[in-house]
Amino acid sequence: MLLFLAALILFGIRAGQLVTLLTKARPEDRTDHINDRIGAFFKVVLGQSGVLRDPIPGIAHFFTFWGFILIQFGLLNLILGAFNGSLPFLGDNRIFAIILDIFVVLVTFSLIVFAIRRGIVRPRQLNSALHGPWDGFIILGLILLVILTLALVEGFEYAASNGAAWTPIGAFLHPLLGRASQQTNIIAYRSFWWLHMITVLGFLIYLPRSKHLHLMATPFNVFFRSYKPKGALPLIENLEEREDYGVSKVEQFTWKQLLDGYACTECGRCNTVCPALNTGKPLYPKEIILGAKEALFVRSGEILGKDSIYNKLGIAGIKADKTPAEKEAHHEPMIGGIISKEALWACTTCMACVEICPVSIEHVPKIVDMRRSLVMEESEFPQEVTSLFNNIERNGNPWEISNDKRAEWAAGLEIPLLAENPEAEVLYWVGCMGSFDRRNQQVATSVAKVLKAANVDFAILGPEETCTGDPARRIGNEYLWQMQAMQNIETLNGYGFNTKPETAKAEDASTENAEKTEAARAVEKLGTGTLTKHRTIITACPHCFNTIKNEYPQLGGDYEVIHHTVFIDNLMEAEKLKLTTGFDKRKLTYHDPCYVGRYNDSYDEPRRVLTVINDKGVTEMGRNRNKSFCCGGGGGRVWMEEKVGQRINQTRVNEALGTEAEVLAAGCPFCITMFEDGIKGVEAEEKMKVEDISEIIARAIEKPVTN
Amino acid sequence: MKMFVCIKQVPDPNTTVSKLDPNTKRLVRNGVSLVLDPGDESTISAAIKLRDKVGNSELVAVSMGPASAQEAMRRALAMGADRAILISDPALAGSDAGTTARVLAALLKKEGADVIFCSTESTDGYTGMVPGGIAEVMGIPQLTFAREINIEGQKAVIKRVIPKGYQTIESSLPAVITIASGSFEAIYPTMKGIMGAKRKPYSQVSLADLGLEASQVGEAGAREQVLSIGTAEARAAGQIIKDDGNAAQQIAEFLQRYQLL
Amino acid sequence: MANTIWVLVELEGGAPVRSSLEVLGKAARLGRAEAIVLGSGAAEVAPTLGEYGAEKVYVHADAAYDQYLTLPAVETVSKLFAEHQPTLLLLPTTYDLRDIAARLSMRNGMGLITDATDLTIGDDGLKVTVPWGGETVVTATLTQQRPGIVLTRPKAFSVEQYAGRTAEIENINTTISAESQTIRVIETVEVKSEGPALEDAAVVVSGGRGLGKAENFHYVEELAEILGGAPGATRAIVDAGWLPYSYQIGQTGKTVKPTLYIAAGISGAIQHLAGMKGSKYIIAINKDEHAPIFANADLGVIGDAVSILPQLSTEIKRRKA
Repeated sequence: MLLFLAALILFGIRAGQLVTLLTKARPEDRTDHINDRIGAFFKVVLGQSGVLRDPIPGIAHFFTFWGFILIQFGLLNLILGAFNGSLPFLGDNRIFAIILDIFVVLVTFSLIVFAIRRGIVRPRQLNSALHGPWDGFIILGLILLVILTLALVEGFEYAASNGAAWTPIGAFLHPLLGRASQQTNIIAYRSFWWLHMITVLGFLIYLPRSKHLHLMATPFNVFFRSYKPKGALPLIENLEEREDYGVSKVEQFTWKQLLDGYACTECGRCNTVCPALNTGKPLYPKEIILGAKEALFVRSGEILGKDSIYNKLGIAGIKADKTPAEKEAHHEPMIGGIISKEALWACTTCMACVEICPVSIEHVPKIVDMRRSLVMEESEFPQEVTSLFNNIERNGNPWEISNDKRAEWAAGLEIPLLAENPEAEVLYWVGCMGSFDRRNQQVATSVAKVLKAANVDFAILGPEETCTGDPARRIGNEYLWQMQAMQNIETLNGYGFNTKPETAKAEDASTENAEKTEAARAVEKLGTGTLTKHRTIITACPHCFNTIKNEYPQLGGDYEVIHHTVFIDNLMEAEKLKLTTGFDKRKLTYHDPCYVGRYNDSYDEPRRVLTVINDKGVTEMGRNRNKSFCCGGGGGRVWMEEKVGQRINQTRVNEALGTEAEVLAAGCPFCITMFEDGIKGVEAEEKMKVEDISEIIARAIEKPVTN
Repeated sequence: MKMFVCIKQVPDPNTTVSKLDPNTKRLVRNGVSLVLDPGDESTISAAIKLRDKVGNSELVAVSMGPASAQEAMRRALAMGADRAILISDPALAGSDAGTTARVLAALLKKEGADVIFCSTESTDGYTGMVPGGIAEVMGIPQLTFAREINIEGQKAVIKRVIPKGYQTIESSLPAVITIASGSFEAIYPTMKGIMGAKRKPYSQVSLADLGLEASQVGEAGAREQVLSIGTAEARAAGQIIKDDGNAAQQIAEFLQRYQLL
Repeated sequence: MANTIWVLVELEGGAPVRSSLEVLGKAARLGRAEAIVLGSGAAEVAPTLGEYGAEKVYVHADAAYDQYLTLPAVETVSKLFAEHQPTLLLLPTTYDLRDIAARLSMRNGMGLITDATDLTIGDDGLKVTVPWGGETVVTATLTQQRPGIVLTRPKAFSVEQYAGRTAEIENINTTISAESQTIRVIETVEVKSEGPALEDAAVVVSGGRGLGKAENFHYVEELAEILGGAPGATRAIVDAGWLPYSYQIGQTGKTVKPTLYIAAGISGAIQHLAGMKGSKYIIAINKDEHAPIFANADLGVIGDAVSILPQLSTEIKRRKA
């Protein structure tokens, strides 16, 4: 009894300490979408949907998870059994006993699978810098011990009770153990009972310090996952009045960001998909999460504060410094210490890590938070970025070009400025690349042709448009993003594009058709002239698209923004754009831009468009849809030099070349730039061309072929 | 140590073609975006580095210009200068480089400057005559094209760029030091810097404050006069030729025509 | 009345530098050219200056000038101004002469015009041509009757020969004060480089994928060397591994603003343009007539860089000879 109490108290202290640490972190509200949260809990936690995406370890984990839960009930039953009691319903239920024992066997097999994977297959992503190579085996060993002792308890119990305490394993083991005397059986039963108990209790105590903390933290992490748009980075409020910008100390993360660390199972799936890591950069997404956890443990004494019970008990330091060198390393700043700056700068914000994580860990916002500190507090960033910041601030575009020239690409194309046609139904947000970069001016021209062919009444902003601030925000310059965003919001609201002024909202509610997508509704209302207060913005730049759609609302700018590929798809669906099917005879592959696909879940629309237009449809690359491999240009990386490892763009181009397609279709100006450079880099200009979807469509419009 | 950096607000050299007003014969400043001279950003950065290295020193940004130059001064403060003084007076309009030097020197003398930093030249006027002029009026040495600066006691030791390499020279203080563009990476202001700049001391002084007469400055004090403003011989804009075997000759001729050989 | 134009002749390794001789030739065309030569080698150099147009040479062979020219030169020339009344002091824009001009003008209350590409002295006085910002040319003059200073742009004039002219030599009798010797040169290091650094080069020749293969990049290097410039590259060929990153010009590489930029086989993506758009003259050679680089070129050549570059190198060598 005392043993139980001691173990429970120790566990309580350890768990309490972890929870108290979270309360010291920054607040964050994660109680919205409560129904979805409960649903996700059932699906991801009880249904194990996250881990099951990777079938072999997934199924093994499924069994271990459920086996472990059942064993807890079995354990309670055993405890009560020692006092001659039993659990209601389950205690003497043979079905429960059968199920429990089936899981004991399944867990044993699962453990063998895990051990083979960890010991022989050794996928690189399982390495843990934080817990060392043994933590995983210790846990496997402990679970095995729990299972074995349980089996033996059952076996001897069966023998001792002469079959009264029937369990399948007991019955199975009985012939093997049967020769011993009744006395020996009872002693063996009691011994293994204790061993089983001690193992489980030991497990309980070991748990908070190991990767198996996830056992307790993951359900909460899944429950409290973000339901905000995936593409929206958190806003820094009161920028002008605060003392800190971003995260430099671990306690500046929010409690949910720290819970991520507790919940991490160290499975390393994030590492397997990271475009930076997979091309030799020093960014291990898993180590970012674990690094923050380690930093938290190292600083736990300081964070909990002198007055905390834990410090008074002298047990506040969760992770002690064993050597002077460790002490040195632990007391240097988190960024540049446990988490390297190179890792932070290597991130393309492609979101592949967040997408694949089975336990809803959010890596990207953390990385950006730390970049924010580097940029806004330390003015420390790759030197190439200085001119980007200065140019956006002074010229409203990333280059040393006067913003007055923003509409020059459209000269002679008869595209009105919004100032000339303020009632236009659609605003085409051209973006800096489309406006100034010659290659992407061709895309802008194609978009305009497509819109004209569909008789869309559209206009552009011209010099009134200015950089959305997306690259600045992702590099960590929140201040510059907010300045750009506020300027654009003022312009867009001035033309009445905001969807949330009271009048527009009321009008909107009446026409709302929940069955249809935003884009479908936008297309439907074209030419009707009824919804002038709720007008559509389209753009060919996924980065502009994402920040206007998902991030401008943080500053009061709510707009209906649609990526051009989705808009084109809907124009075709509504038959406003009629094209010759199978016009394009070339073999073609499609690259999902991160900010269209993973950020905004548009995977089908671009493919539908291409399938109509191309007689062979889309030849997929191995990594497609939500597994798409970044071009290397996101997160401001297009403005930075890539000096380490292989080029991300070349890696992706090689993958595209592997499909033997002649055309790499894209829907993002940065992808186009990165891939065209990549194709030159691998010297494959003769083999493959990069084309925006709008360019392919524009060609179909110009030269309709009738078969 | 009291360190000063002389800076200037100029039309953004990256987006504006600098123009002269044919009537006033002065630089057109209306309708163009005005920024802190990009060269000055490097100079300020060099000065901040030195101030921090020497310790116990103050860095003051000074400029002569219209009140609107305040924005450029704020940028200097955001980058890390401790305070800023703008000399602004309607009489100063149309001042030449010599007058600018005299006016700045008057302030620097009054403030008791030990080290004065200047860019080699401004990006709009590019005469490069102000730093030497200040040094002359103050009767102190000028150390030009510095790419490395050290203060050792009451001496300045700099590495200066010379056409065939570099030279290490030593001089007494006070001194004017000009910065070799490109040797110092411009500091990008931190948020703390940007917000703090609003609270740093900023003052504006007039000619009278410096004990100077209006008749000595501005157009009245200028020793140079613009006679006329014409249009440059239009460069054959975007001439495109097709190589028919003698492209090399045509390129060579182009080079010769514009004295590029 | 004849105008007297003074030229302060700079020495390097005991010989007059070319820029001084160029300006001396111009001075001789404007009127009576008189040279001032200061430094330990001055006495030897003085007699040779007649051939370049000088009618008189003031000489002060003192090693103090060899140390740090500015302050001693300003002192001596100021003394000369006190004794003589030349029309003008004409100086090429160099590191030291620029410093000297600034101090001289302040010390002696002289007017000063910089960056001149040409000047005339007629009945209506001095007229100096100063280009302004690419589109404008200013004609300026000095308002005072006293001598003034004009600094000229490098290479504005060419060296002229006045065969048989001998210059009258006058030794300046002066001692340099201690105040003018407050700057001490500790060491002078000559940096031997194979050419100018990319960022500082007045001429940049750079290559892109249009060169076809890595081996062809040497045509770029050859031309750069002949023009006394530096070779550069686009991101594409750096990415392709032809050259190290240090060659890369563009948004994520180096920014260059040379007088002359020759782009060979470069299409002109904005990422590249961002790094070289500030160049004064741009010549582009590319096979694709739609290449965006042509929109930025002063001279665009539609053709194969691989065949044109070597021809151009040969042609320039021929013309320079």
